Amino acid sequence: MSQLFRAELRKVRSTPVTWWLLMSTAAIGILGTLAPLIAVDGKPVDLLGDHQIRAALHGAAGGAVLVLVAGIIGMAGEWRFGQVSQAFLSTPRRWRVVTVKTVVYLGIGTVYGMAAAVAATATAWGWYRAKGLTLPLDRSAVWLTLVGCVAVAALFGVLGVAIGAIVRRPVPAIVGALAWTVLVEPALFAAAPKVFRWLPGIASLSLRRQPADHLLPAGAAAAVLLGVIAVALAAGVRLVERDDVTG
Amino acid sequence: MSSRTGAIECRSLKKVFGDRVAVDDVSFQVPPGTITGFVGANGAGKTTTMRMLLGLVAPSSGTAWVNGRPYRDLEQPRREVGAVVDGPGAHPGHSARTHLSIMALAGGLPRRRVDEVLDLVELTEHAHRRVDGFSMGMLQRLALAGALLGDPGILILDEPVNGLDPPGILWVRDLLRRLAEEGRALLVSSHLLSELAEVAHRVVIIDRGRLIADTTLDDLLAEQSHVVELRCADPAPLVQELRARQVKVVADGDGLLIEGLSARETGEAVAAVGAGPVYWLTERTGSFEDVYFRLAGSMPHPLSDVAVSS
Repeated sequence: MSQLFRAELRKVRSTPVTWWLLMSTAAIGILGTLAPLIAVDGKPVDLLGDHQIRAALHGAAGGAVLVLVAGIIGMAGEWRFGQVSQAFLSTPRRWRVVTVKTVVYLGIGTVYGMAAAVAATATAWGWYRAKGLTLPLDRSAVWLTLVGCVAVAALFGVLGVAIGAIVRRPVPAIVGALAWTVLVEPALFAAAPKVFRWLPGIASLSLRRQPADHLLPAGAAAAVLLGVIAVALAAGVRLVERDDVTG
Repeated sequence: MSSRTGAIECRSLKKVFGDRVAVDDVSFQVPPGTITGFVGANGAGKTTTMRMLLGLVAPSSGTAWVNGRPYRDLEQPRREVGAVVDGPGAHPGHSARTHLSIMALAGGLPRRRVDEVLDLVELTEHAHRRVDGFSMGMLQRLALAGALLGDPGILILDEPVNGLDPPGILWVRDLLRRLAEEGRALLVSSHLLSELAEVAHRVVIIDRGRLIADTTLDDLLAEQSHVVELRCADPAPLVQELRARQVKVVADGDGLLIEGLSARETGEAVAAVGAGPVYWLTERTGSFEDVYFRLAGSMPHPLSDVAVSS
């Protein structure tokens, strides 16, 4: 497995989209932090309150969305240019390929999440400093938000691999996953928050300490997210093992 | 390159996709040290058979073994089997060297093999170029490099000369000969029998999923026959007459291809049924494709409604 792990790391490192998505993640971290701060600029808002700090640092959550895309491309992309045949010729026990990708994209998710967290923190720190304030880095509202964003990014990397293993066509998988995460889940949650707070994307908001009502407690949210990922991964491995590679 | 050997065996192999039978009861062997040409029209079942041998497609029934085991049971598959399926399988953003390095890492192969196979397929000077800038011929060479990376005793090559220019085809033929001389077992597919005739020791022909020939090239050549090409004013009564005499005749554009009669016998038949005047009458040795189509039972050219083989 270690040789396969090294091969996957080499593959990820030498694929340009990995780096483009990482840079985009950092950019989203910056913009996602600036946007709520600009929105309240000049208004009588306590920038040092927990609620406002969590809202500002939510830019760090941007990493989660793009690492989902990276995970999907990492798995489903194998089918796009015929790499999957070579992957399974080297490793005929296909579950090993999915397992190694799961571990690698857990790590990539962590890296993306940290990049977004650093970008968001630096941006917020600069904004606060420009306002003559100091971002209280020792406050739990800061570090719990950042740790939550990094953890969710790591888990979304794995979720991307699972989705890619199930769908195996990158474009529909990416469009479907983004539409579900960005549009469908928020709309359902807005319509009936107590029912749809169990959805995985909404549960991740709780882990990321997003300031919103009706979210699950962090422990339950983590259980929901982990459960969904485990089921999706199991389904993905089963489909990848079972289905023929015909082209 | 080491002197490796290996063997391939299919037994009663069958694959059904939905309600379509892609491969039906196919059995053959590829012994060590031989090149076996695997010939069939597009869609005949060649690629599916090869993918079953490589563990990429699961057989509906029967066995597809390499070195006495299913591919999925091989501990170090890259060291035992090399394959070209559907091009090199490289990410277009990777260089040739990166692609082969990833394969070497995944296959547990020494990194030096990357340089060795790049040299072997004459791609060293393009090693750092992105694969999306490669010509079709370069992609085929890269695919062959990947197949040879593990220095395997078995090579399963699906249309390896597809897209190559004539010098490239000669180069591949020479490479295949050398690999077989080292004791390896080679299964090489093509939709053109003539493409493999100069290198193959054995020929396996598949048509619509069924095996129709598994023979040596010498035996196959012995089956070549003479074909008469004819263009005349009114072919319909001649076709009827030849059908009655159990002579094989097929349409070829505005003429006929007749097998089993000499030019003189054909001319006499035309005169006897009043099919003349004759515009063209010539006798030629059957080509490899004629042999293939005769064995396959299908026609080299679309049949008209008047020309039906007997």
